Amino acid sequence: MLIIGAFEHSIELEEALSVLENRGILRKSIMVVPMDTDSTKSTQYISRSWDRYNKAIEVGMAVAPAGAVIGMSIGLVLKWGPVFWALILAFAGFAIGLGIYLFVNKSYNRHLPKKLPEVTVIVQCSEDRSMMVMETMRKYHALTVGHINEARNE
Amino acid sequence: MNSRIRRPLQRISIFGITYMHRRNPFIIAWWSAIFPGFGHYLLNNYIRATLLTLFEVCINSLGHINESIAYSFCGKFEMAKSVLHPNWASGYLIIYFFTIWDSYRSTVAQNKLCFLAEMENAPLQSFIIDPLEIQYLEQKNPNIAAWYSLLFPGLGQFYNHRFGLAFYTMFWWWLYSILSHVYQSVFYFALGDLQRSISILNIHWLLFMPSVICGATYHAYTTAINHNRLYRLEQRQYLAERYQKSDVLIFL
Repeated sequence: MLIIGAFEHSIELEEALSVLENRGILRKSIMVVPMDTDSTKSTQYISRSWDRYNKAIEVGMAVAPAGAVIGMSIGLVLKWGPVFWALILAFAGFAIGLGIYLFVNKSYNRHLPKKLPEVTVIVQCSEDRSMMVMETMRKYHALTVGHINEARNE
Repeated sequence: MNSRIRRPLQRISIFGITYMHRRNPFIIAWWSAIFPGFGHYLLNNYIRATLLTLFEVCINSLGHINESIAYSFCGKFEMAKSVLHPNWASGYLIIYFFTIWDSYRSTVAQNKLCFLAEMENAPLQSFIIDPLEIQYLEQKNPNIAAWYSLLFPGLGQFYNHRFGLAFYTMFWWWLYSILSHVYQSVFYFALGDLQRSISILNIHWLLFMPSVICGATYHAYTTAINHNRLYRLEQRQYLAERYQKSDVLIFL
């Protein structure tokens, strides 16, 4: 039997592999394939679906303090005072930074789901152990688990 | 095989995870402009960044830079000029612009070193246990990190296991909030006593606070993202090494 499980990078993935080895699945019967969303080398960048929003939030956070300092200063002569105006202009700065970044980079190629199968684990085992392998994978947060009976190809 | 690692990408010590990361030099220079030292914190140059922040608070207080900035934005240019202490202000400006330039230059240099370190692909550390501390790579939620530093600067750093910076930031936030009377001001504002809520404020100490809270939030957020990135890299290295001799035959 071949059991195939798709995982995210997580501590649970390592737990699953440790449990499988501990229950007698030989290390050489396990194959681990790191998966990527683009063609850059897997050790360099591992892109995630929310990368673009992360960048936008970072730009917004960088604009916010400028707004806050200006708001605090002009708040000295405005009715509601420095603290209130600093908060208003900080949020405005954040929204402007976020909005401009998302607007400028809106041609981002594709929309990826939030959870990606980042690592595929393939286990070769006898048929009587297949249920144990599949249950272990599911218990440790596998996104999807599939199996195939090798015998049918022979 | 790996007789000597020339450039490790990351190192774990009792103080947390110190790492290299490619960054936009303009963003780092911008943070240095917001608060001298913040750019260096983002580059993981913790000691020089801390000294720069101490310098900023001391010289700014002696030269009354913050008051002058506040009056300038209000259009009260005469007051802005008269409050400024020229002895301190000129030196402050030189060091201020040097800090911006130095953080820009360091980012460009670190980006090149980071590229070489990534190409070298030396094994990453994932765990240390020390008599006084345990530190390890762990997946973090960047939104939680940002949220806690927004509530109280330093807590996001604590969440990221950077406890030295966490307590340093928390100490300063206490000091700023007490000296500026900001929470009292919010209290009077909530009671509807507008006059009192403004007159109680000390603008010098108040003007440090937006930069610090935004800087702490940004630092917590990006650090959490980078910890996740390192975690994934380390896990890939480990899995590739451990399961490289796989005998699994997919096509029989």
